[in-house]
Amino acid sequence: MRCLLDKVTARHIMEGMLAVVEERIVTSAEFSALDLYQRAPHQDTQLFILPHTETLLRRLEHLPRYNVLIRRFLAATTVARPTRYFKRWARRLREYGFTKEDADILALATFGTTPAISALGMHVVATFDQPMMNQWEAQQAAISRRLGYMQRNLPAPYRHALLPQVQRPEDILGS
Amino acid sequence: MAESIFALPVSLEQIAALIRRMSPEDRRALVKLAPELREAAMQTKRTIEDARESVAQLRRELLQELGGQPLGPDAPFLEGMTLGQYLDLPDAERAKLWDKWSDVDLHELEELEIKPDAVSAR
Repeated sequence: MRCLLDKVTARHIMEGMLAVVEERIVTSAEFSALDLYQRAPHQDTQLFILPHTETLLRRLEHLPRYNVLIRRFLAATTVARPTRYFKRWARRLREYGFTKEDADILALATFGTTPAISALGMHVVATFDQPMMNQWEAQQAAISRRLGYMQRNLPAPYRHALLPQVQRPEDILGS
Repeated sequence: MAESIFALPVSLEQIAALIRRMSPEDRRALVKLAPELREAAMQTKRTIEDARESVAQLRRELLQELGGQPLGPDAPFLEGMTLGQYLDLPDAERAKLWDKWSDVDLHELEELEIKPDAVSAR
C-alpha cells in the first residue's frame, strides 16, 4: 500500500520524534502519526511525503544534531512527484470546494508517482484535516464520476488511476 | 496481493476499488448487509498499549543513534530559534512556521510522464 503523508502529518511525525528524545509530552496527534510511521514498514506500506516536507527537512540538514532524525525520516519515506494530468485534476477538484492546497494533495494522490516513475497514485492520504475528509466523503460519488469522464480520453496508465482513501493516521493500518 | 476469492472471478483489491467508488449511503447499506465487516474492523483495532510500546521503541532507537544524549532545549533550530523555543510554541504557530519554511507550489514542478506499465493504486 502507498500512503501519502500530508504536510501536517509529516510535521507531527518530526515533532513527535523531537518530543520523544527531549522527553516532552507527546500530543495525541503526534502519537498517532508516530505510530503510523513506526508500523508502516511492517505492514507492507510505503510512506510518501510531499515535496514541501522534503524542502523543510533540507533546511535543517546543516544542523548536525538533527541529521539522525532527518536521515531516518527520509530513509523511511519517498518524495511523491506529480505526473502528467496532475494540474488538470487539481483544477477539477477545486470545483468541489477544496482549497488549493487540499486539491493539490488529493490530486497528487491520484496523479503522483515515485522517483522511479514505476507506480501511479496512492492508496491513501494520511491527514488530520477533518473538513477535508468530510468534503471528500460527501463529494465522493460526484468526484468519482468526474474522474471517470476525464479518464475516457486519457492514455494508459492514466486512465486507470483511482481516487485515494482519505483517513486519519490511526485509522489506516490494522493491528 | 490477495488471491481471487473462491468462486468469484474478482480479487479483494477489485472489491475494495468498487467499495471506494460507492456513495456513503451505499457503503452504509453494505455494512448492514454484511455486519461481519464491522466486527472484523473492531477486532483489528489496535490498543493504546501497542502504540505506546511502538513509540517507546522509537525513543530508544533515536537516543541510541544520538549517543544517548537528547538534542537539548538550547539546540539551534531555524531562524535563530532554539529547539526549546520552537517546541514551546502553540501548535497553530508551529504550523504557520512549517508552512513558511516549506513553501512549494506543486504546479511549478514538472509533470512526469510515467511508464505505460506503471502499477496503479488498486
